[in-house]
Amino acid sequence: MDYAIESTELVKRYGARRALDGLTLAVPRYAVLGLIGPNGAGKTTWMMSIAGLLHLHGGTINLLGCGPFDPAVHSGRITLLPQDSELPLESRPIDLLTHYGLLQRLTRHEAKRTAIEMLREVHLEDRLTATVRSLSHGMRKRVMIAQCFIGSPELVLLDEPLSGLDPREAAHMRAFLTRRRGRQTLVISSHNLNDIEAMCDRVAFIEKGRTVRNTTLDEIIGTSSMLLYRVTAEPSDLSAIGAAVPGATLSFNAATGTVCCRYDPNRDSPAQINARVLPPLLAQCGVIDISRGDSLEAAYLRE
Amino acid sequence: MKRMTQNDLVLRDITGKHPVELIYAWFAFFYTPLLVVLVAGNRIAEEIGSGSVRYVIFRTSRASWSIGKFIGQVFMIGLALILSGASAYAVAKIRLAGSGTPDLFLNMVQWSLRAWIYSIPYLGLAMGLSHLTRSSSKATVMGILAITACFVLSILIRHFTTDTGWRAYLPHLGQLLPDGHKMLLWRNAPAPLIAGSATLITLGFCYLVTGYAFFRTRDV
Repeated sequence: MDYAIESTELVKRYGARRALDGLTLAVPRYAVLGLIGPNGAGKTTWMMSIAGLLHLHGGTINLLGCGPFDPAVHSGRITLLPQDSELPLESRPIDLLTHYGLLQRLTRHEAKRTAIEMLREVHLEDRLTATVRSLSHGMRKRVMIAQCFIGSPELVLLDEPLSGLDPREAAHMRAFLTRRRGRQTLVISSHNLNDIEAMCDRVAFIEKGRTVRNTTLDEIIGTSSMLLYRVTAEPSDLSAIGAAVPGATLSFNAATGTVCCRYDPNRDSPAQINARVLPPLLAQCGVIDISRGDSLEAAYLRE
Repeated sequence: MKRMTQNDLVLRDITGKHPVELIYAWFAFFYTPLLVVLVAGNRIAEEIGSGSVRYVIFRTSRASWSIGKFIGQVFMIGLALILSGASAYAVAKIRLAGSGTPDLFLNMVQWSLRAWIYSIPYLGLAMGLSHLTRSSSKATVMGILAITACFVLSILIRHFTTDTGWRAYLPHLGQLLPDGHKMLLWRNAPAPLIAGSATLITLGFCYLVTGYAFFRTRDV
């Protein structure tokens, strides 16, 4: 497989504490990877190390097949939305993004054109020449997101990109990031698992400076191999329903009030499973809702 | 005058110059280091502290960023000094009858340029130290302490230098400080002026690079 990022056994210490404790994580090219983990798990540290902002105490990084981060090699190919980092307050968004474009070796004309295009994309076309100081928190965040896509980099690292955005802008940015799927490699760190679920096709769980799991979203939430039936009461005879769907496994979760049916997607389609499960299930209880796969939040909390 | 300059060649060169010129030159040389530290000394620490440097150094090298910041500030200080020279000339022309000659204007600009060169090592020192901290105010304090240390060391070196023994080598230590080359900028002949300017600019870069050496491997 072709990887955009291969990071192996990364170690980063702050005094006695290990922020990265042998973290190994590979991100395939053109994947949109969601990085999930509790506060202090090492997500931000990993991203900053990838972008060359932090110096590691151990491990190896291979970015876009060209070794560890080197501005001479990776400038314009990798961009980052860092967390808790202010833009220069007296700058104007159009000048700032043009300047960043020039640093990425775009021509002046190209840099300016891309800067206007990106600011238009984040709905800031009417604030091109306002100073950063005069922008609201959400607007600054949109400028920060826009700077990541100047010059169409191959790899974009986004640390909490949607935090601080109003619901309408958050939805717009989600759609914008989702449109990048298949064209660029994106790594998105967020505590909002609904956002991750909506935007990403891969997910990595990080805990205490280590990767706990790195796989496809489909595999984690079971979109193609699990149906969830939210029911009004616990079915009295689950085995009778199970007998109707050979090869599938049924279980009842009292906490969520759901019947979970795991099936082999190569053998049955969701429609076929529904056709077999619903009649005996409806005979025992009411069905409020049917969904394909679990929510990422439930899957994460289960891990 | 001889006591003030402590240098016969400088005394010879400044004799006969317009008093407005000399007063401006003295003020410019005395206050420029402080001005430099107050205006530009915290620039790098400020950007490290606010995190705005993080948007830049994955696009260009840390060295380019540091040198770019330094050169930018050098030109800002230069512009400020030329404006101050022009302002001093304007005041002289308005307040002192017969002082507003074109020659005086050109000389004032020349003194501004000399003070500008003299400011470069202090700028390098302040900005070099600015690499060591994330706090803007701490960077300013460190800069002020550093230029004060430079002045005090220069005075001590002059005071304790003798013709014999280990003290005879003290002036060599003074060569590492901007004050050790200041008097070359007060000369008229091109040779000392060029030598002094080149040394001061080199010193400025050396101070900057010393601070940068720490920044090169630090986390931002």
